[in-house]
Amino acid sequence: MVTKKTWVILLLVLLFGMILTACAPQVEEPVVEEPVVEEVPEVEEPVAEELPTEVRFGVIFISPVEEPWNTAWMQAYNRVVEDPPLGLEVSMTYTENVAPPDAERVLREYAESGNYDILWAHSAFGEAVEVLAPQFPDIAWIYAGSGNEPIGDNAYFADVFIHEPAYLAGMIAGSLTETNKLGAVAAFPFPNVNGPVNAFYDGAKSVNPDIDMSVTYIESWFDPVSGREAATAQIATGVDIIYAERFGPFEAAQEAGILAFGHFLDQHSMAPDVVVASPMALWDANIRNIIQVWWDYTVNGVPYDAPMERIIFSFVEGGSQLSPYHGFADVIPQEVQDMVEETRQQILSGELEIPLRTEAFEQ
Amino acid sequence: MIRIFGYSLEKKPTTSPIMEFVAVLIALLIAFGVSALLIASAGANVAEAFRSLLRGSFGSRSAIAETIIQGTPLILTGLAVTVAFRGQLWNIGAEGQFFAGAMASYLVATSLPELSRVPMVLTIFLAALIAGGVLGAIPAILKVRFGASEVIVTVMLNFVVLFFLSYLLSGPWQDPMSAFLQTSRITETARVSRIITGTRIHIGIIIALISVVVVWFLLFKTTLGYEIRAYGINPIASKYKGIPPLRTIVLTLAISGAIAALAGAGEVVGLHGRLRLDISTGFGFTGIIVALLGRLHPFLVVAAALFMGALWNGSLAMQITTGVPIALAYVIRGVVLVALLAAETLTHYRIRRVCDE
Amino acid sequence: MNNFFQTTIIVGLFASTIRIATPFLFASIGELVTERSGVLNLGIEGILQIGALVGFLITFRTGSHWLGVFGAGFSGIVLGIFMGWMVTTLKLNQTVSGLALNLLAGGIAFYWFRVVFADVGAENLPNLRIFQTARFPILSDIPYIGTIFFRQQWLTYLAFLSVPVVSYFLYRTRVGLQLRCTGENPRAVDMKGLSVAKHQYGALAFGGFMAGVGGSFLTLASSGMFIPEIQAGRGWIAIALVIFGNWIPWRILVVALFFGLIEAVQLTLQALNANVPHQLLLALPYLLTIIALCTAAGRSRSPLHLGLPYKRE
Repeated sequence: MVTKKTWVILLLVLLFGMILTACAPQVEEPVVEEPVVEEVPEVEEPVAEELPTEVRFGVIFISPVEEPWNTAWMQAYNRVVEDPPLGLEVSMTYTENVAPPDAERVLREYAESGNYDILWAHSAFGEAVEVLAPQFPDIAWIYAGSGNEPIGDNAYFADVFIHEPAYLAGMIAGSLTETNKLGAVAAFPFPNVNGPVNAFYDGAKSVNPDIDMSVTYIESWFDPVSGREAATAQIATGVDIIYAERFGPFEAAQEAGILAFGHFLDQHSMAPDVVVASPMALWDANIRNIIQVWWDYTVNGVPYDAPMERIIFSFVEGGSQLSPYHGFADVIPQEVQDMVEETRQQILSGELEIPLRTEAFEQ
Repeated sequence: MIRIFGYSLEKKPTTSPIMEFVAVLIALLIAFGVSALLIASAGANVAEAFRSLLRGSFGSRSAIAETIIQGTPLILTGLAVTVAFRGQLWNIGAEGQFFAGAMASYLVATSLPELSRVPMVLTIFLAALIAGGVLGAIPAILKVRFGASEVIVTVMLNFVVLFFLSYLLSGPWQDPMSAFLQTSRITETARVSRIITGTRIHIGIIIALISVVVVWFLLFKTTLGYEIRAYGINPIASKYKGIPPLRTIVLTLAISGAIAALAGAGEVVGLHGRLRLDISTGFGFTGIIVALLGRLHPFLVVAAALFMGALWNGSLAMQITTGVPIALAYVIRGVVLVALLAAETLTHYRIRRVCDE
Repeated sequence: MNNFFQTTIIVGLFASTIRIATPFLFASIGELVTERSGVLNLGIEGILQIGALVGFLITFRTGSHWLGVFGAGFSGIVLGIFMGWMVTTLKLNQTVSGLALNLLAGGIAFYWFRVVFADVGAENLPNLRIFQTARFPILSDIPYIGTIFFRQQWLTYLAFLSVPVVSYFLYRTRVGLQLRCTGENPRAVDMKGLSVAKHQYGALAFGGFMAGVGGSFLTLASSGMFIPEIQAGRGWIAIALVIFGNWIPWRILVVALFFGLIEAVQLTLQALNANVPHQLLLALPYLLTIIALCTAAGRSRSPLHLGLPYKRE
């Protein structure tokens, strides 16, 4: 521990530094304001002299990247890098595990560096984006997730829904179950959590009216040990297929010899013997869209004009899909596979609409 | 004198302030040396990393403002812990008390919307004081009445408070507009944010600095403060002297809880404007480190809190500039902290090789 | 709901209780020995996380679960000795040293994981097959009892075995007596010419070993994967259980099982779609622990010199 005197000295240095910098705000401010003043006329003028060759993403994740929400984004990003739009070289720097109190300073750090064209944040950081987006009008801001309000202008609000593939997964589960009892292990009663869980139930109910389902909330985004115990408790009550909204249930399923469905990603490789299929979120279209928006602004001078609602690419538009069955192609009876395929076509043709129910699960 | 592996640690007869300062510098140098190795091994430019560490903590007006913002709740939780630890009462519950204050401030802001700004803000902080005081008094009463350890009760209450908040946020208090685990924004009259133009510095820092003076006065200039410190130094003796432990324990922990709650209220009123489950980055726990780095003295707690804030923000800036994993920033924070702790001993003790065993 | 299901639920409940209690038991019994020597190690949370990571990494690479467990225990010893260096050699404040250890260990675990699995985030989380549960001839096939007691993880049996072993060590051996003396009256130990520091280092190393193994239970016997902060506050509960168990091995066993039982009840009620806010159910173990603590049995007596550095003079 440090003694009084040292702290006093440190404190003095600190105060001195503050006074020094506080005395010279005139030097600081133009640096921040500059782009605002200069860029405004440039927006009106179309066509930049040289076409950009690269687009640089700064990405701020609210949790570690292994959270499926983030992993799904990274996988989509990698696909976009492989097949880049407009011949651009796509690059990315990310900061993970950013708590909302830190969001504004992290985002500001990204924006001020001038190294990024597109800043992708989580919807929990909406307020920070609201403050910063007008200050950095050349950057295309995008924040994704359920909740929060749209901002407009250069702040785009995006989301991804997987309730349609979750419904299809539910149909398979409803056909395969022997006890007529399904389970789901979920994080919080949260819109993006409830949507697929409810759709999974609806899907199962549509093929099997006797279905019972129990949902356990573990009140953590990230606690596979609790997730596993929650699944084990469900199995003891007779559940024989589990929708694993969180990590953990696969191991319980392996031990008990029952089946499970993944969530958000194709999680088959994590437990090939129990994961029947997974509803997958595909961010590709949203990533390509924001690149296009940024390109139109930078190259063609089209002003940013974010819609006052979430940008969601639906199941029909390729925003989500049900993963392949992998080894379970031989296990799921052909007539079930045909039925799922038929329903899929009905959804794609608009004949069938799967309701998105985001309220907490109720039997 | 203790001997380990042929070395002995001896108390030096005297310590000079210069030596202490030098020890801190050496400790920081060692910490930054270790950090430099880590940064280099991650393939990043070490000089650039340290430049951004400094820039992110003190490099500009806005960086200094952000350091103060980050330090604000830490000053308050640090003070809360200081009061309790001075009385040898191990309050690990500042995290829960932080949220109690945040909840109280939201409750006032929504249930009394007709209040104008000044009475509104005063009521909010008063409500936070009460909420934190009550939550702090619970472990105190259980300790006196049933002999329940305040350590367990405060640790357990942290969990209980968070589950309760989660219940409120997913039901009665949920923002109907967003269906997020958050409340709707509190009314504008309840907000005192951005009190210095161009920065996010908010009312919290004023509350924090007032609290510093109050706590200093309380601990060193009042009878209660004397009782708290006396109980802390020797609980049994102070009982014989006629200081009733019940009153001292309850008051100490209630005051401690109340101060921690101010931090929560400050964050809601000044920074976020709404209540969420994740408005704390472990301020309650970091407050313990702050309090002990600040040697349980209110004024030093301010310096320690600002130092932690600077380290926190600087390491974030470093991560973004160099692109190393953010986990490396956590490691560097830990290394700096351990080195700073070790510096204390090195100023008071010297390690000597002992030849004869 | 018919009778068959009721029975399986109860059996499942008790089997879960024992499993949930296991990591707590490891960490708490280790912490008990540490605290008995007069050192309060608040760094359990960090050691659990490092143990979880090291166990996972070794098993992931070698395929041997037991190697992972030993590696995790060894990493716990290293961290325990590091804690000893801070609190015994440098005589730093124990509370802040423990918290610093948490911060440092948490950062190291997270960073280490990132360095080893650079592609995580773009690919599925790496995971492994958890330990096979134990099977005993005849015993495992006894109805109900077999499922509850004789189909657990081997690590679980080790955790339970540690209770009588540590109890014997503390109360029936010379070193155990010296260790308890160190926590009660270090001066007396010192006067007898015994090293206070060596006892505390030893106790911290043992406590670290147990917490490291407890951490490996999370990755190797429960979830099969590592993620940052996988311990999720379990270290704090373990420390609270030591106090709740009044620094006595057998009572710690009882309170760990009690905590596990409430947790299992909570999960079972949720699985049965009980019509109560699930947050209330989740808070139940913590609330009941507070209440239980206030009953007559809760009156605790800590080692006299707990948390204080021993300085001669």
